[in-house]
Order: sequence, then C-alpha cells, then structure tokens
Amino acid sequence: MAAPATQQIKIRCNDEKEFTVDRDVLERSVLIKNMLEDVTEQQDAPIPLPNVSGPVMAKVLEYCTHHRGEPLPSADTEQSQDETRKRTTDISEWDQKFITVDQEMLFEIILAANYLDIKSLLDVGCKTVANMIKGKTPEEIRKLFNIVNDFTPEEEAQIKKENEWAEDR
Amino acid sequence: MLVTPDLPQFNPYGLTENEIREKIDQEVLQLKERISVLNTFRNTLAPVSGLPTEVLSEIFLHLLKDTSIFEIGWNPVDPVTVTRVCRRWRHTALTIPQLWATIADKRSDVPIRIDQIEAYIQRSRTTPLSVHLWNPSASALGACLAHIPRLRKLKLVGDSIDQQVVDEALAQPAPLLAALELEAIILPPSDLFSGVHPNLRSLLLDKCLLPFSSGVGQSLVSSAKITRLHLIYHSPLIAAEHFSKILISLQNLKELRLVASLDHRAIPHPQTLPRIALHNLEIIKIEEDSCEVSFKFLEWLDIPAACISILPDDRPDWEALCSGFSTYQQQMPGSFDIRNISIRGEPGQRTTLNISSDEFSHRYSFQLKDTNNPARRILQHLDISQVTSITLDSTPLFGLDSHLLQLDFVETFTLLPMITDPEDLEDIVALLSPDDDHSEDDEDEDDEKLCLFPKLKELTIGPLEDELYDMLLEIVASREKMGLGSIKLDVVRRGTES
Repeated sequence: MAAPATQQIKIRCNDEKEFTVDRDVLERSVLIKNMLEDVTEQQDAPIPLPNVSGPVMAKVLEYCTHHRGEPLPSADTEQSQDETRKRTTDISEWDQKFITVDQEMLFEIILAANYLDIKSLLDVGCKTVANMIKGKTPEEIRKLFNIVNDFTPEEEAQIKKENEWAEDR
Repeated sequence: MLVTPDLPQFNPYGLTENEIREKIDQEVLQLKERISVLNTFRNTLAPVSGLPTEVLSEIFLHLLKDTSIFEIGWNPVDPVTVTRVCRRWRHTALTIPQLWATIADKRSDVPIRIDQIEAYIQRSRTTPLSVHLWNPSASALGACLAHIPRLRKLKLVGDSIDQQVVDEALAQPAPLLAALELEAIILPPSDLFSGVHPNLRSLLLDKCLLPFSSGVGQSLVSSAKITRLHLIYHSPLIAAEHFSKILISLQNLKELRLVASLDHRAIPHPQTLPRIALHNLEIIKIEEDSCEVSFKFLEWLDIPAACISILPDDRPDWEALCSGFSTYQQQMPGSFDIRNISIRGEPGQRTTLNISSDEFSHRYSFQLKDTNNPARRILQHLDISQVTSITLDSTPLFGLDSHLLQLDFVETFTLLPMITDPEDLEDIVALLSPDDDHSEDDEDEDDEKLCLFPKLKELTIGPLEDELYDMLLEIVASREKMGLGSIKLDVVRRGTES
C-alpha cells in the first residue's frame, strides 16, 4: 500500500504572498500546529498570518524544512530548564549559515519565530544577537544597532557610580 | 566661526549669582531630559527596538554564561555592560533576576566590590545564588553568606578566609545548596549548615580541614544524593574505616576524585574487609598517591563499570604502575584482554597511557610525569599480545621494534612520534615490508617471519619525508600483492599538511 500523501497546507502572509507547504513542515510552528488541530474539517482557505511578510516567511520555511522531523521541545523540557540552566551560544553550522542575514532580516526572523512559536528558531536568533553583543563596549553595541545614549541625568549619575565596578576589572 | 549664543534673560528681578546658577542648572537639566526623550524616541526607530521585552530578556540570558560557574573557562559577559547601552536595555536587564544571580570575582586579583555584591543580591530578588569568591574580605564573605538559604552554589578559594565569618555564616541551613567547593584552609563549623543541606550533590574539598571521624564530616559527605565527590590534599588523611562508612552511603556517586588524601596505613587488605559496591560510579581518579596504594584502594572497591584514571605521584614509575595494573586486572572478576593501547606524551610534561578492552566497562587511564621514553617500558610490562589498536603519539620510539613484532592482531596503528629521530620512523616503515628479512639477527634463520602487523588495516603515520613516503606506498602495494589486505593510509608529510 502506498504511503499516504503528505497533506499540503496553504498560508497567506501580510503582503498577500501565499505558500503551499507540507503539514509536517508547518507544524514546526506551535501556533500553526494548534490552529490546524482546532480545525476539524479540511479547509481550502489559506491560514492568514498577519504578522509575517512573504520574504521573512520564505526564510522561516527554509529553516522549518531543514529541521523537519526533528523532535519539538516539549513543555517538560522547558520547565526543567530553570534559571540555572546551562545556556550556550553555540549554533550549528547550518543554522549559522542560515542566520547570516542583514540586521533587519535577523530581527524580522526573530519576531516571526516568536509569533509563530518556533522555539528552536527563536533560540538561534537570540543566540546570534547575543554573540553580536559579546565582547563589545556599550558604545560599540549602540553603534552596531544604531541606537544612542538616551539616559536621563539621573540615570547617568547611577551608571557613573556603577562604572566603578567595571573600572576595577 | 564662533557665535555667542543668545542667552536667556535670567535676571529680570535682581536675583543673586547663586540663584542665577541654580536657574541655569535647572534649565540645563530640563534640556538634558528633553534630549533624553528625543533620543529615546530616536531609538524606537532602530530595528532592534522592535524586539519585544521578553525576547530581549532571552538574548541577555544567553549572554550570561557558556559554561557553569564551576567549570574551567567560565567567562560570563558582565551583565552591567547591557545596562549601560540605553534606557530600554537597562530597564529590561534590571528586571531579570537571573542575570544578577551569579556573584563572582572575575579574576583572583580583582575582588568584587561590596556595593556590587549588595546590588546583585538586591537585583536577583529571590533567585537562587551562585557565589564564587577568591580570598574574600570578611565583609564580602559576610555579605554573600548572609544569604546562605538562597545559595545554590558556593565556591570559596584562598588561604586567608576569615574563619570567624565562616563559623557564623556556615552554621545556617542551606536548603537549596547543590554544589559546595571549598578550596581553602578553613575548618568548617561543627554545626555546618545545621545539618540541613538536602540538595547537596556535588562536593569538592581542597585542603579543607574537615575530619571525617567527626559527625560533621560524616553528615556532609554521607548522603545518597551526592553524585560528585572530590577530596584534594585532605587533612587529616582519611582513614579507611571512616571512608568505608562514607562510601557505603554514596550509592549514587558517579565521580570520585582523590588527590593525596588517603591514609596509606589504613587501607585494609582486600580480603579483610568486604568490598564496597559503587555500581553507579562512572569515573574514579586517584592522583598523587603511589601506585601500590592506588591499586590497593581500587581492589577494595566493586566498580564494574568505572573508568579508572590514575595519576600517581611525580616519581616516574611505569614498571610499578604496569605491574600493579596487571595484578589488579588478574584479581578482578571479569578480567579482560587489552585490545586498545594509547601512549600520548606532552613534550616536557606528562605521558598518558590509556588502556581499554573492546567493552566500555574496561577503560583505564594513567598519567606519569615522564618525558623519558616511557613507551618501551610500558609495553614491556603489560600483556598486550591481544591488542588490536595502538596509538603512539609524541612519545619517542627507541627500542620498540622487538615488542611490536610480536603483535599479530594489530589492525589500527597510529604513529605520530613528532619528537623522535626520523631514522626510527624509517625503521618502522621498513618493518612493515613483507619482503624485508626481519629475522637476520635471529639464531634460527629458517623461522618464517611475518612482517610487522600482518592484519593491519589502518595506518596513521608521520611526519614522513617524501622519500620515506614513496617507500611506504611501495610497501603497502607489495603487502596487498602478497594477500595481506589493503591499508587505509593517513600520512602526515614533513613540512606539509596530512
């Protein structure tokens, strides 16, 4: 008996761009997985994703396709990772290549992963940003992210005091 | 061109100079606040500002550490850095208690400041704390140890730790404490943690003055929950009778490391005391004791699946180590044939000998500070007749040939001597040749003598000169022709890459 064909699901992004994707690929997103579980009857209408644009969704789908079939992190695993959990900023080679994009796209991917609830992709994004911050001074971080010092005089005074902690180091 | 600005009129009502200054300061402050507001608005336009606070928090937590506070190489990013970037980052960082829950001197010579300790304790709110201090002052130690009930990890290092603070602070219950490392000449109080440390799993005592004959010693260590126990230069030395009581209770112990801590005189003869079963042990390291003591201690334990690692004291004594190991190997139930042997030298440092059978359950690692041709002596003193894999890495070769020629089952041979005479390599390569008459010095010239390692399948060798490399290729081809099977070669060429 031939294996049942993989169900294809249609999604529509906020720029009207549509994708037809294998269900198991889309189910890397907990949000979509839950949506699909809630729908009992086969629907032809595409699932609207108002918070994700076409180009970003294309990147997200590239990630989900590469990682299809891998076990999803369970709620238990997340719970067991308490505040002392060992975090690392290691990223696999493929993920590293995948996430080598311009800053705007990087943050868009992180936002999409957060919205679509794709924990592993969110992790890759957060680790990438953490790696960008590592070893830099506050001024270098500001320059990197195009932000400026906006502290109030009161906050400046407090920071000046705290600078003594760092100056000794 | 410099232009004098139009100054506002501050003095229409005859104010004093001080009043004018105050007014100007006020105006400047208001302007600065206005600038701050504008800059905050400017920051909202940056792509990074689109990240929700919970995602920004997650990024900051990734910064926190790559390794545990107790691991070598621990080098967290100081959370203070992110609080100095902009208002939003500061506000976010200050509301993540976990970010502030590790209180540690970054370097042994730069102690953490008291006001920093206090700020971290306050910002971490009720999160369990990890504290790692080198020779802390009484006030720094006191500030941290005042929160013993919140401590999850405590590491104190140094030789001038205030005993009085220790006495007072370490007497409080430590309900969350999971790891305790005391690398300090201190005497833990007799009511250590008031006997309350139900979650203690990892214990390292280095130079710590904790008598195991005392109730506190027994209470601290004898816990079924302990999985990692390191006793280093323990004082007083641990007598076997006390240690046996402790070991019996450590049924979940996975890692045991003893460095010059055993009382030699008190280790019982294996036949006089029942052997102690530690079936969950995964690694046992005995360091800086004599080979005799180490093996005597091992014979006393029933550790079927342990990976034994022995780093004896500094006197090079491979003969004692190998013969001690052979005796141990024969006396233990389930004795095995050595299949894999690896001798690796660190130039000018230690030599490591790894021995294993094909099963994971028999893996042994030994180290000696020996820079003087240990390979020959090691191989002479071990029964390696059944060995199938040999690695000789950065260890001189002199005199190996006669031993190696006896080994008929070797399938994998790695020879990266690095510091040896190239002629030795040439000798080994020549011995691999099936055509060579290796028996010319033998009395019985008629004996059929096979080439070195007739069953060889994988050879990693080098560094070889071009000429020797060509010779090796010819030898490998002629072995194949003579039906000895093909050899997978991995050759390091002199002056080039593999």
